[in-house]
Amino acid sequence: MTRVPEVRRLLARVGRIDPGSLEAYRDAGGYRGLGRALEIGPEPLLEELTRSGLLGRGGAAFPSGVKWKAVAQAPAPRWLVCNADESEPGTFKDRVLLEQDPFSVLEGLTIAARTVGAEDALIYLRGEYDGAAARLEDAIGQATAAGLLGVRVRLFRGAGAYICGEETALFNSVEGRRGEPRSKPPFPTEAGLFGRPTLVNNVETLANVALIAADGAEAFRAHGTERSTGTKLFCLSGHIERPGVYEVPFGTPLRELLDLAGGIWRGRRLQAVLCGGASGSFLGPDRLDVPLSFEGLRTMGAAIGSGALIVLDETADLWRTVQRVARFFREESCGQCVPCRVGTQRQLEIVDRLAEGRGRAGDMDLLRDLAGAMTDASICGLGQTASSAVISALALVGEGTPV
Amino acid sequence: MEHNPPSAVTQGEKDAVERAVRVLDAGSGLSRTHLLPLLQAVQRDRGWLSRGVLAQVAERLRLPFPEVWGVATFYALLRLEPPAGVPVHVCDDVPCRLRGAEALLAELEVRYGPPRRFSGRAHGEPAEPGVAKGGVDWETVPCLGQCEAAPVAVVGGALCRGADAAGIAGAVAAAGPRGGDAGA
Repeated sequence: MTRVPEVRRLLARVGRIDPGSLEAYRDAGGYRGLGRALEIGPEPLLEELTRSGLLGRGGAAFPSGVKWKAVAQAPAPRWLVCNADESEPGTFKDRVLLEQDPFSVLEGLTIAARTVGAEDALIYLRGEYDGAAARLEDAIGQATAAGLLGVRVRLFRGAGAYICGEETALFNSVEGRRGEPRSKPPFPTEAGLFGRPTLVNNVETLANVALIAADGAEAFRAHGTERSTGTKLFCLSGHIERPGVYEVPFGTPLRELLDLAGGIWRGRRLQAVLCGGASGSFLGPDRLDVPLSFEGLRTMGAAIGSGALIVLDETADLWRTVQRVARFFREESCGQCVPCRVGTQRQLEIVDRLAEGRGRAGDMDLLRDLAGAMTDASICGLGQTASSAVISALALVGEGTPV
Repeated sequence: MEHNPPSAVTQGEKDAVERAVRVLDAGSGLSRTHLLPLLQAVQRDRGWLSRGVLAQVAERLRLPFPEVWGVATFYALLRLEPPAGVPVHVCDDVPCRLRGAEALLAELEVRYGPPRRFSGRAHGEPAEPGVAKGGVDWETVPCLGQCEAAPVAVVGGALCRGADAAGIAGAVAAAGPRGGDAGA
């Protein structure tokens, strides 16, 4: 028997209480974090957050304390944005949190707004998430009526554009422009939404904030590794026995997480895990003992990203998956900057001809050259990561014969 | 040129935009940040966004028509042509493909003809006309974020988890001849 590593902190209430009831949330310990945040005040809370070592859960893993401090020190008025535009293929943890425990996200949002001194908040919710939208609207109404929101909250729906999860593209989208990223600097902490200093946090990050405020930095650090503190939500999909969202401490080996989800389906063997979704990388069976932490994955050139783990069994057509990923980036590139607009198109063409057995001499080198250009010269994370899965697949299938 | 405003806006289009303005409840504070919500509200109401609607929205927000056109063509969920049947979105992304989406797509193609190409509406590329076979206007879409229930589809705005062709056909029948909203 493998030790069951699951720790339900963020998922403590999920599936166990009525997510539509503020009362049920409070009875289950909700809003203790806000109570304590109000009791100790903004500066000690910011200290606490910094000591917790919380890193952003949207994919970039930026230290939350650093971001919050920058916004708190910037001139008012300030904006708070909750990034709920979850669109990374294979990722659904934010949706589950918003549908099943919406008040935990709102509690974190209120704590964040009060701590950095933001009077306005906006939740940018993925356009396709109708269920989460209904849940959120109702929860915002209940929290407002109970005097627990403490900030004006606007729920803003996306309209089908992966790029709008990029924070500056998100600002443009809210401002009624095409969702194209802006050049940085200026960073959002200086000039973000409507040109104002803006704190942008992911849904899961805000849910963690409520935990840290309630129980303190030490309790938070009790889980995870020295540099990746706390627990992480992972989204398991594909050829896994029980797909779903699982919460484990950072540092849990990939093997244990797969076991927790029932192992590879139909008793088959693992071929690869696409870690981090379309913008992530493939990990082969020789990586099963990798500790799932920011630093653990970085040592092998991978990243946790959004927490998506798409499992491919031994029968899956790996290169067909690569083709779909390449098409995804070709379709979702906003077209603003040349390296990404042209690079994603050329990448797809090469991947397609390799898949169809029409590969040419030098195609592998061309893919690597393209990857270098896109990674170095694209304006935003979309272009910078658009070749990640393709290049990691080359390493798995070996030189010369991707199919 | 497509990005030039239409010569006339019908009363129906004007009324639809006014209804959407009232739904937003922005009062006198109507500004550019209401552009996307306004387009979404009209689409919920009428099922798609005609050029007259875009012109009226431009007028209401005091924006040049090409600016509104540019935004409307950017988002995949905004429809710039009337759906040719009940709008059906079927996920063909990696997690759904690994759990049967390819077989599902093949079955749907037999029933409803080839799907509309999703990228046709993404980021301003010209759309391809929809083919309404069996009263359905369908297209494949990237990950819908419901991967634990793969394969998934959205039929007339209603989510189908663990979708199969029979389930989709049933949802199409339930959505009626015009269908619900395309999901935005």
